Amino acid sequence: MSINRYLQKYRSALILIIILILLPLFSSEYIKVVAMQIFIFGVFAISYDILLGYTGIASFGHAIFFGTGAYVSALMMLKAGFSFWATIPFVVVSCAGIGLVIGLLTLRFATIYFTIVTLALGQFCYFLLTNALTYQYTGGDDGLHGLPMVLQTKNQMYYLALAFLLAAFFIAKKIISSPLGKTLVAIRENEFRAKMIGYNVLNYRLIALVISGIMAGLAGSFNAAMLRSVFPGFMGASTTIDVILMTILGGMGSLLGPVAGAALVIICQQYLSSYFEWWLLIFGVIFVLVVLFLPQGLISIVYRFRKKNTSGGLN
Amino acid sequence: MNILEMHNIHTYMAGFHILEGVNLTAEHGKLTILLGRNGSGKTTTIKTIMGLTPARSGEILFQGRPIQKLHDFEIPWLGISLVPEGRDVFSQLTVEENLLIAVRKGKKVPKQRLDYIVDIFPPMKNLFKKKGRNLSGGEKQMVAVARALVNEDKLLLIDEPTKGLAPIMVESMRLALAEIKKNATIILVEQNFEFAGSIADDFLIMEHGKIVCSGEIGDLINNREMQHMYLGV
Ligand SMILES: Nc1ncnc2c1ncn2[C@@H]1O[C@H](COP(=O)(O)OP(=O)(O)O)[C@@H](O)[C@H]1O
Ligand SMILES: [Mg+2]
Repeated sequence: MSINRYLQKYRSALILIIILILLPLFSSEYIKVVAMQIFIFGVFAISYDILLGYTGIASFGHAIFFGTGAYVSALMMLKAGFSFWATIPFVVVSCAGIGLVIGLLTLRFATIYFTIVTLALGQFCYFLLTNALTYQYTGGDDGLHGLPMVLQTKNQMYYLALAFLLAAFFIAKKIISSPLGKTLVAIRENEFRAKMIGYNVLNYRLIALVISGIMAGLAGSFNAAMLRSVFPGFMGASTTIDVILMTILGGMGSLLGPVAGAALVIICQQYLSSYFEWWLLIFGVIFVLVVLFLPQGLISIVYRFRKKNTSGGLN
Repeated sequence: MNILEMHNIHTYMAGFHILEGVNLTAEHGKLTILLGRNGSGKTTTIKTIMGLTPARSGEILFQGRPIQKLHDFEIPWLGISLVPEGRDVFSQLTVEENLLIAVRKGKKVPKQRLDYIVDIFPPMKNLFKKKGRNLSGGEKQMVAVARALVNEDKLLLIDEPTKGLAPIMVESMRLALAEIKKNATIILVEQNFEFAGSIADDFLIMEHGKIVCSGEIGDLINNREMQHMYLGV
């Protein structure tokens, strides 16, 4: 593809990235924080999309990975003096390990078992963090605070979070369009058909779960680094519900949709909640409407609009 | 030489005894047709060979080697491909990807296999970029059969490839199978005796989960009484 064609095809993406690069130059500290939150939850939602949207497995405890990543980083930084970057391999290994164990225990059966076990395990992990026995390590309900700064300034942190999102997005895109990604889509559509042409469905589901778990864990670590604190809520049901909302509202199976969903959910949480007492109710109604009338999520509106535009342009 | 043998195979589904002691053989290089009324257990027999509905007892020999204990996903690797009932393509993948995903060795469909497939199904030439969900019924069936041809397998199991197809599509499927048969051993499930009789070498007739009759196709073609008794034609 020539440079020109390339620029044309990805014009909107490039414009968006340039706006995001320039944003810190003219925005308030508050907006930067909200944007960073969106970037990090964007990665978390992408990880959920790989599992639900592309592999067809619903996790009701995805915060387990997010919380594990956050707490592994925080504990190692605070109690063992590790730098943030030095904790990353441990986050990767622990999240991959958790994914493998849950997967091996449940994924050989119908996927509903996985869903139920993740729900229970999520509750258990939350209990583990908030329990009196572990208080001296985890800080219980108060969480852990005063993590060392990863970078010197807020702007640098902003760019780190943005780079994190872009890297995660491109890696996810690569995976999804690789033979592995195509196989996951095939298994989601019909696992018997996939077995019948010789695929070990369990192994592929495990791979997807491990990839998704690592990505979610890294999002948790970055969230800890950005806030310089961790809270048990990172591991809690509300965090799982948030990521499900982001993925489904934005449009699962599209990677971009869940990122847009993350932006929408976080902006609503930040702004709607201060203006309307009833915002959760409004949000619930929007969610139901999207599920009923836009099964491909809000991103499908953008795709439809773009299709019209480009076909018009070619004629 | 027998490429496949089933000895006293019993298969249960959802607690029901579906295959009640199936015995059958299929000879190497031949097209063996599996006939029988709706619900007699033909599809279950095919799925049992593939390990998708594993046999509870009995023995399945492929090239003399017992395979009934293997996992479902291991069986294709022996060189067996299934074309299941119901025009079974991946709707979210393109035709090209549908073929590619079935390739077991290497990263693409070998050029000479692709030429062979297009030779057998000329209309495939223009379908490669189309998504599975946008194909017509006849095109889907073509792709489903083509997907079983990408690996140069030793045995093809094809389950009712003409079910619900327009007469003209049935005829082109017959020509395609006649061509495929030159290079492969096939077990073909068919209800359409006219269709089957014209390309088969051997036949098996199934009733209530058992093989009740088998032999060379000529014997069945000449035996009106047997056709009437088992097939209702
Ligand atoms: N999932 C299932 N659970 C229980 N019984 C089944 C199931 N699938 C098929 N059967 C029964 O098994 C018998 C054989 O079915 P099948 O092998 O599909 O027959 P055929 O392909 O010869 O039409 C039928 O009586 C059918 O009702
Ligand atoms: Mg059948």
